Amino acid sequence: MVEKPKAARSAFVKAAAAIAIIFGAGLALGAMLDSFRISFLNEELITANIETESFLTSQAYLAGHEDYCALMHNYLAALSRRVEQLGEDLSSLGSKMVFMNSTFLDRRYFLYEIRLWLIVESYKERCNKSVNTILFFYSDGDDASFTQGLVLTSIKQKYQDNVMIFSFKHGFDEPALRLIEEDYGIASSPSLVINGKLYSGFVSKGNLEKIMG
Amino acid sequence: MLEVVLVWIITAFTLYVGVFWLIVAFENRAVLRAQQKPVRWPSLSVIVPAYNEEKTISSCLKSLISLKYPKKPQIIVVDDGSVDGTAREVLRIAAAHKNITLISQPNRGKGAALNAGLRHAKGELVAVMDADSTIEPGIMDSLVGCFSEPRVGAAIAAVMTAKPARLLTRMQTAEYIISCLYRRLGSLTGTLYVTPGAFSVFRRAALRDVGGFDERNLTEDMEIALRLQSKGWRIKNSMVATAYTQLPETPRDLYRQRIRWYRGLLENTWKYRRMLFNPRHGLLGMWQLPMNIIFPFISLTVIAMFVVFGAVWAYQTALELSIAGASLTLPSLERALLGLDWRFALPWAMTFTFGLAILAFSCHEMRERVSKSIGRFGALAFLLTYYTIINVIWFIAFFKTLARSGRKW
Repeated sequence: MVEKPKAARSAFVKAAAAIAIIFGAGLALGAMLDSFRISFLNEELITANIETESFLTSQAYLAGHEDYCALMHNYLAALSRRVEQLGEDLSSLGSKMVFMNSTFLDRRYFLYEIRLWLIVESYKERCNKSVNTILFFYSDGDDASFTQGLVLTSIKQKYQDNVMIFSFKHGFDEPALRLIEEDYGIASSPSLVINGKLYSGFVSKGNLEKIMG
Repeated sequence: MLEVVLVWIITAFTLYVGVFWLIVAFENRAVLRAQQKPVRWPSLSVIVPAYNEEKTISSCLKSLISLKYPKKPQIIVVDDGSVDGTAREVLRIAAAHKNITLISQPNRGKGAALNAGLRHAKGELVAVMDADSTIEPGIMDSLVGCFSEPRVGAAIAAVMTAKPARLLTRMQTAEYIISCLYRRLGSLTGTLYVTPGAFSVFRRAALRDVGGFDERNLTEDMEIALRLQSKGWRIKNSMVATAYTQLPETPRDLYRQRIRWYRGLLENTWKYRRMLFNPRHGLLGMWQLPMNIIFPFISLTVIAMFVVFGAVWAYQTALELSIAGASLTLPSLERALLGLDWRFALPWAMTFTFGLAILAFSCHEMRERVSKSIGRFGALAFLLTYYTIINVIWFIAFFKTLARSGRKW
């Protein structure tokens, strides 16, 4: 005697329950990943800020030292690499977060960049160094900003520690950043402030090299 | 964000359908392995339509000759205008076996050949068999058992592949193994919509009741299945019987075969559109037939998204390489996780894992070893590429059907 097949109707409900569990587990995994990423970047930013504190302390201590400029140069090079790595990390995170908001990370990062930029400017003045500083104002999802970013990466690769790039999201809601944007008259993206002078729109690699001299 | 929602909805739906069938399979495991013993052995006729099958007809007839059946079956080979030595080969074998008859006719297509054989068939049961197929000697044991219920009009066997050697045939073998399990489940849920030409058995009264095979249909094996069910006949799939078929060995042959199949599917779905969403036809009308159309569209949406995202990614990567150059450093685990877009990676991983589970389960149920029948590389290639290729062909078939372009058998 062959057993009679069991009805498929209940399988519809059971399948729905199974899918709810599978997707629930998937979303939980995603939330865990989001949380991990926020923690990781937050720790990186805290470390970067501690390094800046260390720099400022050393700067105060070495103020009258005869090797001040040489020592500060090495410090700044390390901080520059740190800011570059953080920028890459935040850009890699992009808009991939679902359960957590990464805006506060961006804000901390931009403030960190502004602080570092000011330190570099004071170092340039005091040590009479010709390091090129570039403030890059971009917008997400903008092709010209994307291409400008690639050009700047290429410039950084070529000139290494002789150029320092600080990238900011145009129109980001941070008073210190708004102040800089207003001060330099940043109205669109991409915009570059190269050694204190504004260049609106895309700037090619060749032109950038000419401007930097 | 819209694309994320779309990907998750599509994945949920795809997995839902798969999980549904897995649950049906698990709940009916005992039935899936049961063999329906025949109460009696009705007389049997076997019709073999053949067109230029000189190379395969002898192995087909040899397997029919070795068929274990209490009554000697009537074997009718219908030579449908072959221009090779098919008829000569049949006559050579028939000389030693008086139950083999050869009918010759000008080329009129498979449906017409089957009807010609049907007119000569005397058996209560009529089996149809492709000339490039072979069968196991005991295939009829469980197939005859399926006819113990009076409203069963047809019984079908699992169709497996004979010795796949190339990657393309190995991938098709994976598809056939999954299809075999799917058809067994279809038998339990009344959702079978095809009586494969490789080997299917019909109640002659049922064939007579529905008027025989459609002679102008691209896939007469699907058409007859739908016609039988539209007139209240049921189709059963034997849980143990197996027939073996030859597979297309080149991409061109596979393309031609699938264009014919999918055009046939679309045309027959249109022909029997009154069955769609018709509760009178149970799960076949409410679930299976709509799924046959909906699923390829879902797959195509996914493919289209992959193409668009892939193109954007390729463009951005090319731009990055041309301007900023290549970076050869491997990221740390933390940084790799930062860049991982789980909104897309997770649905993809779930679909892939689920596909692997379905393939493994199907192989287990069909008593096939992955390493032997498909190969690990074949299984991987199947999971990663096969349905994409097949869905693209389906898409072409869809447009050919809409454009009513020339039909080829």
